[in-house]
Amino acid sequence: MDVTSLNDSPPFVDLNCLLPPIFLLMANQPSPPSSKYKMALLGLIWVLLAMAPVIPAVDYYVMDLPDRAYSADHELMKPSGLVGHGLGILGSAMMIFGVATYSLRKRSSFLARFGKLSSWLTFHIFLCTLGPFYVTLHTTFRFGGIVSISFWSMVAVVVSGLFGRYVYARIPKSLNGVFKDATSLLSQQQAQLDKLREAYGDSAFLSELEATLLIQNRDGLQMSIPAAVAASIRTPFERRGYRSRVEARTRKLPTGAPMRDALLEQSIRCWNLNRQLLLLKPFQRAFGYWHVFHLPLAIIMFLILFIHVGIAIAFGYGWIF
Amino acid sequence: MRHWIVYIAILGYAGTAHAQLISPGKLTKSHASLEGVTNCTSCHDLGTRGVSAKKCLDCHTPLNTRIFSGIGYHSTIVSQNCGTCHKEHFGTAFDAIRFDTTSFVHDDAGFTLLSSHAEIGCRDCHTPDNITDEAVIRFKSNAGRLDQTYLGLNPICASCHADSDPHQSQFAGRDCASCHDESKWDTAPEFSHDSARFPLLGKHVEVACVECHTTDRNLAGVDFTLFKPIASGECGDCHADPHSNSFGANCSTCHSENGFRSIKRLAFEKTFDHSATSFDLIGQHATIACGSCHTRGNTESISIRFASGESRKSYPKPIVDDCESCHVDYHRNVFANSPGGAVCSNCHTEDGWAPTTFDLERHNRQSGFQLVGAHAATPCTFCHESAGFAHSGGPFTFEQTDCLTCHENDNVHGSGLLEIANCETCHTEDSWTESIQFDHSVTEFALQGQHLSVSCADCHVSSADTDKSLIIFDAISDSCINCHESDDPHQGQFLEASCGDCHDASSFFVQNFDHDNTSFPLTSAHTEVACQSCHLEEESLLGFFTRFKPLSSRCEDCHR
Repeated sequence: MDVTSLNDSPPFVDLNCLLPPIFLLMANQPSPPSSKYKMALLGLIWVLLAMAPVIPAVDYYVMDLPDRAYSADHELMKPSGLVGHGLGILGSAMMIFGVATYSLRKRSSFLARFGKLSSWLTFHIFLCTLGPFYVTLHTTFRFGGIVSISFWSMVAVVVSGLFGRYVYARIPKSLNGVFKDATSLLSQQQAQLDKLREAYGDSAFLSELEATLLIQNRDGLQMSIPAAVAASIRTPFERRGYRSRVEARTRKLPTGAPMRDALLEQSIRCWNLNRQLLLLKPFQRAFGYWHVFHLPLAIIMFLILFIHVGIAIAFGYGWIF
Repeated sequence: MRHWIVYIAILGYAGTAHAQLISPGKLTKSHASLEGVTNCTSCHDLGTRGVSAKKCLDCHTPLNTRIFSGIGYHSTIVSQNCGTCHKEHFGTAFDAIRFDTTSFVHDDAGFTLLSSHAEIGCRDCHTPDNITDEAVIRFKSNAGRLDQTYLGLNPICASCHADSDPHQSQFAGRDCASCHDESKWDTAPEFSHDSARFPLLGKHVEVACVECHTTDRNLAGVDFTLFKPIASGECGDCHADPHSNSFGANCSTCHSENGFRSIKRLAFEKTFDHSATSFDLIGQHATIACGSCHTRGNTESISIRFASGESRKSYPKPIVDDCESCHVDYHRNVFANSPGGAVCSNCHTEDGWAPTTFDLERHNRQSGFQLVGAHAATPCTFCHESAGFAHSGGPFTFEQTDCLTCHENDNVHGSGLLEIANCETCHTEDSWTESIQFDHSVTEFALQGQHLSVSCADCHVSSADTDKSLIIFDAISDSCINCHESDDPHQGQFLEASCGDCHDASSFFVQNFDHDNTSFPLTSAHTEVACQSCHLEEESLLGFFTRFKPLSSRCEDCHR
C-alpha cells in the first residue's frame, strides 16, 4: 500500500494562531510554523501594550492601599488621575470598539467581504483582552460599588470568552464549521483503523489499539465539564506517553522503518480522533453555557459601565484633564 | 432556566454592592455618617472634581475658625482642595491625616520647633491630654478622633508641661519661656538674675543654681527646687562664717562677690578692727600699712613666718604674735641670756624701737655700770655700738667696765702713762678736762713754788710729733731745762747745772749761788762789786742775756 495515503486526512485548521501567546499555552493542537510566528508577534505587541502603563507604576500597584493614597504616583495613577482615568477610558473604548466591530461582522452581511471572520475574532480577542487589562489598571485593583458589577462581569466575559475559545477550538468541526457528532467521529476513527488494517493487515497490534480506544470512549461519555477541561489540558502529555508506548510496540514489529513510522502516525491520528470523541459531549455542553455567560454579561457590563461613566461625569470627571 | 439562575445571581451580587453603590470606597470611621449614595453631595459639588473645601469647613468648624482667623498651618495653605492632603474612600481604618512629619515645617503651624522640641515625636506633644481648645476637643471627640488630631494645642509651655509643675506654684502666673528655652528644663537661659531680688555679681555668676536653690519637699512629699522665697539677704544665709562671727555678719564689709579670697583692700584696711584679732595694733603698728606685716615679700628687717596654709592668703596670719614672729632680732640674740629672755618688750614698746625703756635709771639699777657724770648725758650708741657689732647695736655686755674699754681711743696720753696710772687717777666722770685731780707729790717731781701755780699743760705739753695731741706725762725729765729750755734766760750757759743750784724754787731768787764754788771766787773788793759790773748783758740771735760764762778770769779783761 501507499504509505503516503495514510496522511491523507482533512487539512488541519490551526485556530490557535488566533490566540495571543498566553493562550497558546492552553492550546493542545499542533500549529503550523507561520501561524506561530504571527501569534508570537501579536502576543508581543499585546504584552508591550499591556506592560507600558504597568512597568512605570508597578511600585504603586503593589503598594498597600493606605500607602498608595499617599504615594507620589497617586495623583497620576489613581482611577481619576491622568493615567488611571486615561486607562479606564482607553480600555473601555477598546472593549466597545472590539465588541461592536465583531458583532457587526458576525451579524451583518455587509462586512462579510472584509476579511475572514477568524481575523475579526482575533481582533476582537486582542482588543477585548487588552481593554479589560487597562480597565483593571484603571481600578487600581479596588473593586467596590455598583461599578464592580461591571468589572466582575467584564472578568466573567473575558474568562468565558477565553474558555469558549478554548472549548470551541477543541470541538471537531467539518470544513464548513459545523460541529461533528459522535457517529461521524466514530466512523472517521473506524475508517482510520481500516486504513491501518489495510496497510498492515490484521494483527495483535491493531487489536490492542482498538481495545484501548474503545475503553477511552466509554469513559468519555459520562465525563463532566471540569473533568473534560482537565483531560483536555492533560491531552498533550498523554499523547506523548501514548506515542512512546506505540513506538516501543512498533519497534518489535517485523517491518521496515517507513512502515513503522506510518503505523505510528496513523495510531496517533486514531488516538486524536478518540480524544475528540472523548471530549465531544462535555465540550459541546460547555459551549452551550458559554452562550449563557458571554453575551448577557457583556450587556450587563456595558450597561453599568455607562452608568459609571455617567456618575463620573456628574462628579466632574468628564475627561482625563 | 439555567440562564435566569445566572442573572439572579448577578443581581444578588449587585444587591450586596448597594451599600457602596457609586462610592469608590468606604469612608473613614469619622466620616461614617456620610456614607450612602444620598450623602455624596455633602462633600462633593456636582460637576466639580474633588471635594468642596467650603463643605469640608462647614463641618470642620474649629479648623474653619482658625483659617478665618489666619491662625495655624491650614491658614497658610493656598490650595482650596482639602483632598490634596486628606484622602478619602480608602476604608474605615484609613488615616486621613498622614504626612511626612520629618519634612513638615512646624513654623507654618505658628509654633517654631526649637532644640528639644525638634527632636521629639509629633505625638509626644499632640496628645489628647494636651489639647486645650474646647472646640477641637468637642469636635474631635464626637468623631472619636481626638487622638488623631494635631489641632487644639496651646503654644504656652504650661499647656503641655504643667502636668507636674516642678516649681510647685512658685512661679504661678508666669510663662515658662520667661526663664527656659526649648533646649532643656535644667537650665534657664532666659532668666536674668538681675531682675531678681538678688542680682548675681562676681563669683555668684559662676555658681550653679542648685548651690543656692536647694531641693525642698512640700507637704505632699514632692521634692522640688526652692527658688523663692530663699533667704539671700545675708551672706551667712548661704555661706558658713570661717571667722566664727569675729567680724560680724556682714561679710561685704571686707569681701566682695569677686570671691572670698579677695577683699576690698582699701575699705577693709581702713575699717578692719585689728583689735578683734589676738593682736591689737598699738603705737607704730597702728600707723603702718597692713602689707608691711601681712606680706609674703619680707624685708630685711621683717621676716614673718606664717601659719601653715596661710602664706598664700591676702592677709596671712603670722604663726605667733610675738615680736620675733615678724621682726628680725636686730641684736642678734645677744639678749638671750637676759632676765626673761630675748624679749623685745624688755626694752622696746610699740611706739618705736627708740627710745627704749632701758633708760638711765634702769641702766644704773640693772647694769653693773652706773652712768654718772658725763656718762649720764652720753648717747647709748657712744658705748653700745662699735664696728665689731654692726647691725646689732652692741656690744651690750662687756668683759671689763674700765675706762679704756670704751675710751681707748680717747687716750691722749700714750701708753706709757697707763703703765703707771689709770684714767681715774686724774679724771672723774664729769669731764676729761675739768676737775682733774692729781697729787704730783706722788711723782718724782713734787711741785713746789711757782710750779704749784702753773697749769699742768705748761709742763705737760703736747707732743709736736703726733697728731693725736698726746699730752706727755711719763718720761718727762725732771731737769729744769727740759721744760724751760725755751725760756732759758741764760741761753744755754748752765746746761750742766740745775736751776735749783742757784735759784730758789719759790721765788726764783738766786738764793743758793756761791761764787766761791766757781773758778773765780770773790775776794776782797770783788765781794763788793755788783754782779753786773763783771757779768755784762749781751745780745745774741735769741735776744739779750747776761753773760755768766765763759768769762775770762784775767784782771785786764775787766780792768782795762
